[in-house]
Amino acid sequence: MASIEFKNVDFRYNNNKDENILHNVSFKIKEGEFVSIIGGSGCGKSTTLSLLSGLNHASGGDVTIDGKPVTGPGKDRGVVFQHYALFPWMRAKRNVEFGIKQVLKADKKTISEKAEKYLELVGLGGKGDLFPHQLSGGMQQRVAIARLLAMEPDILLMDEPFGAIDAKNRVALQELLLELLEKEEKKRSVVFVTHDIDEAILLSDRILFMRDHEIYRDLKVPFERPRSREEITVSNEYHEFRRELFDLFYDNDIHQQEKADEKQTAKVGRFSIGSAVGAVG
Amino acid sequence: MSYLSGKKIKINFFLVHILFLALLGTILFVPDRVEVPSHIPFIAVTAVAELVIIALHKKENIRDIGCVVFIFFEVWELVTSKLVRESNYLIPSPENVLDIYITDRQLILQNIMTSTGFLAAGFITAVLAGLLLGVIVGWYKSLREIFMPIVKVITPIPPLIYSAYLVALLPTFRDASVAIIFLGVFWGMFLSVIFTVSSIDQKLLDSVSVLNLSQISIFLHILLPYSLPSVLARLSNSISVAFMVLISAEMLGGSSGMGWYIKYSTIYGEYDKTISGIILIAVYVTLLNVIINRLKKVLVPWDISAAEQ
Repeated sequence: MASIEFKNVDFRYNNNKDENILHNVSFKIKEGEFVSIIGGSGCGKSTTLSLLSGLNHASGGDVTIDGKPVTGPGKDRGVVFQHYALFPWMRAKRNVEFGIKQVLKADKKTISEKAEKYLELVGLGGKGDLFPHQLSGGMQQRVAIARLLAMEPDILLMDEPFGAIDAKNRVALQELLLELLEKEEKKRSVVFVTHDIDEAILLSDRILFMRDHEIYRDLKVPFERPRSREEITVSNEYHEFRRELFDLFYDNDIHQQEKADEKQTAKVGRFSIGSAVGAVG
Repeated sequence: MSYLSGKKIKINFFLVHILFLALLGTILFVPDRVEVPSHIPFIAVTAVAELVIIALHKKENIRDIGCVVFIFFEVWELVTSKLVRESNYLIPSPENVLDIYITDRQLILQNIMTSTGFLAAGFITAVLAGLLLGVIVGWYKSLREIFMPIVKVITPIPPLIYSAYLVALLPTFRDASVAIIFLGVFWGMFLSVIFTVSSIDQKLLDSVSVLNLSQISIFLHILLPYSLPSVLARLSNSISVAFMVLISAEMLGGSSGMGWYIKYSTIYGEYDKTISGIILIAVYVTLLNVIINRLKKVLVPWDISAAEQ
C-alpha cells in the first residue's frame, strides 16, 4: 500500500514570501506506479521530491501517502540522491548494511547476508570491501541502489540518481533499475526526478512535466511493461512521444526566454529614463 | 637539455659519496689539535647517514640533502677539533655531543620518559575532549551560537600565559604541565571540530536525514568519522604546539623533563649537553610526526588525501 497524493501544494522558503517554489501542485500516484518528474532547471521538480521524502514541508496544501500526511522522513520511503549517496567512510558492504540496520532488527549474519545478496543483484558481488572512492561513479550508484532496495521501502524516491554518470554507464544503470524493479514480487511506487527525456520514457509509466513551479502536463507513457530499450526505440510511437516531450522543453525554453526578456526590457527602460534624466541634469 | 640534466645528476650522484669519504678521511686521518672523546660514535652516525642515502637512492633530493648534511658535518668537525688550537666550550665538537648520549644516557632516558608521560596525558585528553565536545557543540546550533564567540576569544591566548598560575593552582608540577598542554591543544582542536561539523555539506545531511537515524547513531556513524580527517590533519600541528608548551614549561619551572635538562646544562655551561638535547628533541618530534602519519593511514583509510601521502 503506497499511493501518493499532492493536493494544491504550495512551497516557499520562510524568508521569501513572494516567490513560490511550488504553486498549486496536484497529482496522484497509484501504488506500483513509476512516475518521472521532468522539466527545466529551477522548475520545482527536486522540491516536489523533497516534500515527499519529508526533508521539506509544504507551505500550503496536503502531501499524503495512503491518506496520511507526510510529517518527516520515514521508513516507508527510500531516497537516492545524485551526490553523497554513500558515506565515504564506510566500505561498500557496510553502506548497505548500515541502511538495512535502520529498518530491520536482526542479527549480524542475517544483515550481512542480505547486504551480500543485494550487492550481487547489482553486479557488485565481491566488491563489498572497497571504499566508495575506490569505486567508479557508476559502481557507487549501484551500491546506492543496492542499499535502497535492501531497505525494502514501499516508495522509492530518486533525485537525478544517474545525473553525474557518463552516458555509457547511465544506460547500463537504467536497464539495471528496470530489471530489478521487474524482478521484485512487491510492486514499489517510484518517483524519479530527471532532465533526461529518454531516461524518463524508458523507465516510467507516467511523466509529469513541470514548468514555472507548476505541473504543466501529465503524460501517460504509451508502452506496456515489461519493456526493453531495443523494443520501444524502434517504434514510431516512441519517436512521436519523444518529439512531444522535446517540444515541451523547446516551448519551455522560449517561454523562459520571453520572461527573461520582459524583465530585461523593464530594467533597460528604467535605466534609459534614469540616464536621460541624469544627462539633462 | 636532457643531456645536461642527465650529466648533472651523475655529478651529484658521486658528489655525496665523495663528501662522505672526505668526511671519513678528515675524521680518521687529520690529527686532532684538541683532545676529543672517541671518534667511533661520529663515524657510526656518518656511516648510518651514508647507508640511508644508499637505501633511499630512488627518492629524489636524498643525495642533495646528503650533500648538505655531510658538508655541515665536515665544517663542524674541522672548526671544533681539527683546525682550532684550543677547544671552545661554547661550540662543542660532534664527538663531544655524541659522547653525551653514552655517558649521560640514563639521565637523558629518564627525562625523555618524563616528558613523554606529560605529553601523552595532556595531548591525548585534549584531542579526545576537543573531538567529542566539538562534535556536540558543532551539531546543535543553539550550543554553537553560545560557545563559538567564547572559544574564539579564548583560542588565541598563548597557553604559556597560564603556566605560572597553574603551577600555583595545581598540587604538582606534573598536573600543571599536563593542564598547560591540554589548554594549548584543546581550544584549537575544539574550534576546528566545531567549524568542521557546522560546515557539513547539506547534501550529506539530506542523505543522513532520509535514513531516520537516532541522534546517537548520527554522532557515532556520521559526525565522528566525518570530522576525523580534519582532526588528524591538525594533529601534527597540535603535537608541535604541545611539545613547545611542555618544553617551555619545563624550562620555566620544572625539575625534570627534556626542557629542564637543556636549561640545567646551559646554566652549568655544559653546552655539549645542551646541543645533544636539542638534537634529541628534533629526532623525537620527527618520530612523533612519523607515528601520526601512520595513524592517519590506519584511522582514515577512506580519506583520499591521506591515502596519497
